[in-house]
This record gives sequence, structure tokens and C-alpha cells, in this order.
Amino acid sequence: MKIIIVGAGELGKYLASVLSHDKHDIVVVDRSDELLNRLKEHLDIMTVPGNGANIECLKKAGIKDTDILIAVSGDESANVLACQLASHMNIQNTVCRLDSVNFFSEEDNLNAKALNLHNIVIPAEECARKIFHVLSNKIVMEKILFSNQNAVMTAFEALPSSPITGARIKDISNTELMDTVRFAAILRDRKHITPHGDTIIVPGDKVYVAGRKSEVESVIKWNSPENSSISKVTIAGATRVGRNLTAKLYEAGYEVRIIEKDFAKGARLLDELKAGIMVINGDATDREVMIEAGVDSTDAFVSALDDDEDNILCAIMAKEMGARKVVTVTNKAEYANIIPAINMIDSGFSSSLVAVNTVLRQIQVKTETVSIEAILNRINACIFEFKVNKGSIVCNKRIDEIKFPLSTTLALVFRDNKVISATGALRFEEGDIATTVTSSDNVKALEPLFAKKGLLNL
Amino acid sequence: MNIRAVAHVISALVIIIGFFILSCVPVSWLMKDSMNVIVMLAINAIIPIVAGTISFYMTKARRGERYKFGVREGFGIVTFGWIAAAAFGCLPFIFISNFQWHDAFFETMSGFTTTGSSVIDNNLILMGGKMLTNGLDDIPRGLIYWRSLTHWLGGMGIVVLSLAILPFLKIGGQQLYNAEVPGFSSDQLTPRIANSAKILWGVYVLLTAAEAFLLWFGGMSLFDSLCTSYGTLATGGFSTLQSSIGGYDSVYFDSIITIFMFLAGCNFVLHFRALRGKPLFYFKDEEFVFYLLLTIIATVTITISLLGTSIETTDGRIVEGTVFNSIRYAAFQVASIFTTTGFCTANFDLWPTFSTFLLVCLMFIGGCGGSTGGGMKNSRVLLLLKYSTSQVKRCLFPHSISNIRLNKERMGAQTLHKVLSFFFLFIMLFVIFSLLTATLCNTDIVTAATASVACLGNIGPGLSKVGATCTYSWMTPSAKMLLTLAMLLGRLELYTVLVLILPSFWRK
Repeated sequence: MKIIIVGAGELGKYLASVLSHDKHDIVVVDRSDELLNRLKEHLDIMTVPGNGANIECLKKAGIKDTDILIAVSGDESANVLACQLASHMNIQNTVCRLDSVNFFSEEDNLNAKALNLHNIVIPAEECARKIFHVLSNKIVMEKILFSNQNAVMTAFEALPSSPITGARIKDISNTELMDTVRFAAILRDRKHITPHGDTIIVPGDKVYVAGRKSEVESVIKWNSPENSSISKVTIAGATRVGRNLTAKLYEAGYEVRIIEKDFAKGARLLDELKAGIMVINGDATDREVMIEAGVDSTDAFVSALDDDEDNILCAIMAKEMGARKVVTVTNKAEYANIIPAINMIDSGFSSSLVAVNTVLRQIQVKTETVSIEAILNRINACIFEFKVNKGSIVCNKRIDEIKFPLSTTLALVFRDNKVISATGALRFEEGDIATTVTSSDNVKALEPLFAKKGLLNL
Repeated sequence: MNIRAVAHVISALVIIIGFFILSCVPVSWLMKDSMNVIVMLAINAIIPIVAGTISFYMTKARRGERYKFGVREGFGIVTFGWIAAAAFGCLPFIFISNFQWHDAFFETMSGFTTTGSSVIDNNLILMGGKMLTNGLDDIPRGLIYWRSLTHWLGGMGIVVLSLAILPFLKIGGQQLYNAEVPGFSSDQLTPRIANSAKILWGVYVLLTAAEAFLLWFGGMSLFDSLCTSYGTLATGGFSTLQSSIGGYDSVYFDSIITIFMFLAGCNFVLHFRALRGKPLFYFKDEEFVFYLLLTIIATVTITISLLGTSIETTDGRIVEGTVFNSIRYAAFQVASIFTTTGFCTANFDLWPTFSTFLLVCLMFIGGCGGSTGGGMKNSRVLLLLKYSTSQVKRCLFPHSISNIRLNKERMGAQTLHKVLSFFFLFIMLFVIFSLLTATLCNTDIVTAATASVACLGNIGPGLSKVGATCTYSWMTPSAKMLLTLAMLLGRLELYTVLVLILPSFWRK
């Protein structure tokens, strides 16, 4: 498929790399020659310097035979315009990056459809939601949702006091609960471990548990130490992510404090939210300011500054001062991989990576069989959903009869909107959706198992 | 540089070379070469295929490993790929016609780099001290076909060809493409390099077929018309006759070849656009207009200078300098030298000094970017011209922002610097190669200088002892090796080869 990406920022860069490795034809449009040249050095793509919200420039990028346009530049109005121009040129699938949902107004009937936008991605909002999910409990590190509303996959840290710690997975005491959920992956010392029945969970492991929402909740609750609930949150930076998160937390009844260097920005946040939150005016990397904001006694500290490096330092400082849980936001996708190496930071999210996941899901560029659900933040692995086709190799077979590639875990099976735990005795039926955690290299080995047997893959 | 990864790709390239040598076997059979020659040709085809296959499997990525092709690997693949191609491509010359290895390597490198400098003449000393008394007529047809085919393969680029037909190599990025395709502006046709390469090769095949048909239609034998077309479209210069195109003495052939040489010197992207129904694009391209103007000016002035003189053709006849004859020989020779093809119909060495000198000047400029021609390329010269003008202007307006545009796009300082240094490197290498050639062969300045520019610019014939009716066979082996290096440098546009000299290229 031919895809035009407008904007070669962090998000555009990452999308171009993921999509071009998936054998799509990519054209990247950006104003900066330098960014484009850097991108071109290691990717087999075409680049067009210019304004993506300009018809001449889009024509130069070959809009006429393009299938999808993804506008992810830093300027939301330019993105909207680029998508509208694309729609005008009869492109059926567009993705538009916006700063916040406030762009639309329900009372004026102004929504995505009215503006001729097909898909919307709001990285700040998505990232805020991701962070919001992990602020429910101290031990939760990441939460991933699936195409099936009832299913969830949650990563949590196994503490020395947790009942699952020290036991082999098949020997874990609470068998009733364990039968309903699946251990999808374990992250130990930054390495991805594929869990088996004999795997012993040691303290410090990050365990990914998948299953129905209620059951996963109970597993978390069962493993949480006392007073692990969170009520006081301090956020550094009234950035897009910071503002979005503040609104969410405030609505959910958390006690929120914000540290913002820029007085005007802080005041604007208060004007926007019209709510009883405290904004401290000061530099979040300043110790005195942190103390004034009460970081030493806060339940969770989120650093959402614009500068990635400041965020990391700020989070480490907060943890040292006594914040019980620290979460950091980074822009660069590369940083998402190194944050787990910093023991003091409990959770890190990259707004680009989160947004890439959303965009990939929206455009559904994968074949009929596969759709990518998420690229795991902390492990070099992806979650893929495979549809079981009629006549495929796995159809009507028991799971334990099927040979899967190494380091692939079958987590869940969705059947008629029901979530089933993928145990060995389960037999695949046509139309089932199987969720797997695997490295992206393994997809090619997995795909033929689920695909229809055709001439090409005999 | 990951040597295994580079060797892996080059192995694939060697296999392809083997198959192309194999394709000469049926030609050899049809042209009634002796059975001995046909069998030897087949054996020489099998050697690269087998050697390539073995090393392809030996250098396969180990389990769990995945080759990453970075900038270093890109340059390594292209430069060593060309050397490997010439090394395996020269085998038939050694085994079939008993060439000495340095002559065979010179001839093959000259073929792949589309230079067209030949060592084949009546005085070439073969292995064992014998002489090739009848020149090209002593060479089996199958081998002559291979010689012309090397031109054709090298013209559009052998590495780009393998990218187009071997998608499993999965080399991302554009280093390979940029390292091999001439010119500095990448006028990309499609998002994927492999597809762009396929399109350009398609245009190339189409133009070759068109010329071969027109020549065959005009009465040339099918074998000669194919070989000549390969030499023309690649801007090579190997002919099937010892006296080059002049040996046919046909106005029709001369004009067809003149036109196709001119076309081969244009940017192939423009041909593609024209074939898609946009012929006016030619005149929107500044480089093309510059190239066309220079061709016209050179043709007209040389025609005028030839009027009334007697012109000696390459097969030794003397014709009068009538208006018609002057235009015919001037146009052919300008197109041939300017596009760096190197076919000859007249011995331009004997022309008035103005004409000879102008032709030597044209050698430096060469074809357009994105063509199969060599030299410095018209776009670079045009840009240098604009840059120099702007520097003069700068004396009056010292604070103006530089506004040097090519095809309406403003050129950044980075591009300008690269073009400027290219110019310097080209001239510097020309001087160094001239000096070394003169020393190694103990010859005169004109011979050494023109031999050096003819090889560096991938033209072929020079002046004096390497002139239109002479060859390079008399040179010492060391000078021949030096000039093969010049050809490679010129074909890969200096940087790709020069980067290998840097110690930091080899160190991690």
C-alpha cells in the first residue's frame, strides 16, 4: 500500500520506520530538509520537502495513487487541512493527529465527520490515558486493551511479599483464579522471558497477566501489598500530556498538584479546568520547588515536561525524595527501551510509541489475518491478533497440538465476544481471534498458521 | 564494515554475472563459433555461478543474526561489487582468447564502467608471447558479444540491477542507489528503490531495443546492431569493428547512433516522463537545456572549423569537408565524446586544433545526472557556473542570501559544497593520473593527459597515441591497472571509491 506521512517528527519517523519495514511504500513530507535527509539515510522511502497542507506539495508526493494519508506534524491545523485535502483527492483513509479533544465541540455538532476526517489520533490524550491506567495501583506498570472490550493485559511488579513470588507458575496456590488468566510475558532484568508452567517468579519481575478485566483486577488485588492505592498525584509540567492527565485524574477524584515553570501556562491550566487543583509555579528540577509541592509525601509523581532528559532526572529526584511511585513521559521512542534500565523509575511511557500503536490499529494495514494491537513498551515484543480462518492449519486443532515458534505466547482467545483463556486443551474454531505476544520477526512464521491455505502458501 | 554481509551480496552479484556470461553461449552458437569456444564460454559462465553460490551460502547470516546494511556496507558493496564483476567477467578473455590477465581485466573494467577503452588491436601481445594479428576479427563472436554486454550491464549499474531483480537481499536505505547512480540530485520516481530501479531499467531496455531495431532495419546484421546498441545506450564505445562505427560508412547508421548517443546522455527519468506522455518535461529540465545547448554550440562550431578541410575517417578513407560531411562527422563526434560514449567515425586527432581542443573540454563535462554517461555531469557544471556567478555578484551585495536554483529548487550549502569538492577532486585526480601515466609509460603529455581524462570520464579514446584509431594495448601493465582504477573512480563518481581509503571506513 502507498502511504503518505506528513510530518517527520518523532511520531512520523517511527511510523515511517515501522510501516516501511512492513513493505509499504512510504512518502514522507516535511518542511525540514535535514529531518528528511536523516530519515532517508536508513529507510527505503521517498521524501518530499514542503508543506503537507499544500495541494501542490501533496501532488508531488503522489497523492493520486495513495491509499492512506497520515498527518502527524506538530501543527494540528495543518494536519486537519492535510487530511481534508486528501479527502478531496478521494483518499478513503486518513489519520489526523490533534492536540486535544477540545478541537471538537459537541454542541456545535463539530466532530471528525463534519470535518471529513476518518481517524483521529491524540498522542497526548492516549498517553495521559495510559498513565491514568497505571495510577490505579502502585504495582501496576502498564495496561493494554484489546479489540475485545472485556479483555485486558496488565503488567505488574512482583514484590517479595506477593503470593505469586517464589512459586512455579503451575504451583501457584490460588488455582481457581489462575485458571482464568494467562501469564503472557515476564520481564526480568530487561529481558523478555516466555513463561511456562515451570517458570519461577522472582521478586522484581514484571509480570504481564492477560484475561477478563474482572479476573485480572482480582489478580492485581491479590498481589498488592496493603496501602498500595494511590490518591495523591503530583505532576511536573502543564504540557499537553500533563493537562490531559490532570483533567482525567481530577474527574476521577484524585488529589492533584502540578508544578509548572511558566506562570502563564499554569494559569491557563487553571482557567481551562476551573477546578480545585494546586499549581506550583517553579522549575520542577529544583529541589525547593519539589518540596513545596509535597513530592516527598506524594503517592505518585508523574514527570511530563517537554524535555525528555529533564523528565528522567526529575523522576529520579522525586523517587529519591520519597515519592512512592514515579512515572515518566518521554517523547523519543528510543528512550522507552532504556527507562526500564533505570530502577528508580517505575513506569515510563513514550507518547510517540503510544500514538504509533493507535495509528497502526486505526489504519489496519495488516492483512486480513493479522492486526497489530500494541508494541509493548518495555519488551521488544508486539501483541498481534490473528483471526483463525477456515481451512487454516490451526483451525479445529487443540492448542497443545500446534507447533508455535519459540518465544511466542498465546495469551487469549476471543470467541463471539467472549474472552477465553488459551489453555492447551482449547480447540480453535473458525472465526476465533487469537492474541499472541511475540517478537515482530516471528509474525512471518505465525501468519501462515492462521491464514487460509492458498496457492501461495501451500 | 560487516565483511560477511558485503561478501554475501557480492556473491549474489557474481552469480548474476555468471548467468549473463551463460547468455552469450547461444549467441556464440548462432554466430558459428567453434565448439571449443562455446564450451569454454559455458565453463567460464559456470565458474562464477558455482563460486558465487558457494560463497553465497558460506556467508549466509548465521541463525538469529540479521544483516544490517549501513552506510559503510553500501559503499563496500558497490565498489567491491564492481571489482568482483570485472574480475569474474574477464575470465572468458583469458581462457578463450589467451589475453594476459591485466589486458583482460582492463578490457572488462573498461566494459563495465562504459569507458570503451580497448586493448584489442593488431599488436596486442597474448599469453605466451604470440600476437593478436587481426585485431577484433581474431576474437570469437561470442566473446565480442560478452564484451558489448558488459557495457550494457554497467551502463545502468550492476548493483542497482541486482537490487531490482533480487528483492530478497532486503537492503533498505538508498546508499547503494546513490553510490552507483550518477548525478547528485535524486529525482525519485517511486517510494521504493527497487521499483525505481525497475522503471529505469525498463526505459533502458526499451531504448536499446528501439535502436537495435532501427539499425537492423537499416541493414546492419542483427548481431552488430545488438552489440552497437549495447555500446550506445550504455555510452560505452566498444564496437564490433576495429575501425569503430566509421567502418560501416553509412549516413543512416551514423545519424541513428548520433541520436541514440544523445538520448543515452540524458537523464533517464526524463525519458520515462516522456514515455508517459509528457515530452515537454525535457525542456523544463534546466540540465537538459544546458546539455542540448552545449551539444548544438559544439556541433556548429566544429562543423564550421571542418569546412574545407579533408576529414580522415577511422577506416582510412579521406573525405572532403563539404557542408554535409562536416555536419555528419562533427555531430557524430560531438555526441560521442560529449556523452562519453567513445564511438568514432572520423580520426578527430587530425582535425583543426580548435575542434580537437573543444572535444577534450567536452570530455570533462560528460553526460547528464541520471544518465549512463560519465564525466563531471552537466548539472554539476551548470551549478558551478551559477555558483561562480553568484560569488561575483556577492562582491556587490555581500549580505545577500545565496539564491542558487536548479530546476526552481534552491540548492543548500551542503549540495554546493559537495559539487565544489567533486570538481576539485576530479581535476586533482586528473592531474595525478596524467602524471602517473606519463611516468609509467614514459610518453608525451597529450597522450598521458587525454588517456587519463578518457578513463576518468569513461569516454574511451583520447588523442595522440590513444587517439581515435589507436588503442591502449601498448601501455605497460602498471599503467593499465592505474587506468582501470581511474575508470572505476569515474564511474562511481569518486566519493564511493575514495571513501574506502579512509581508515575510519574500516574501523568500527
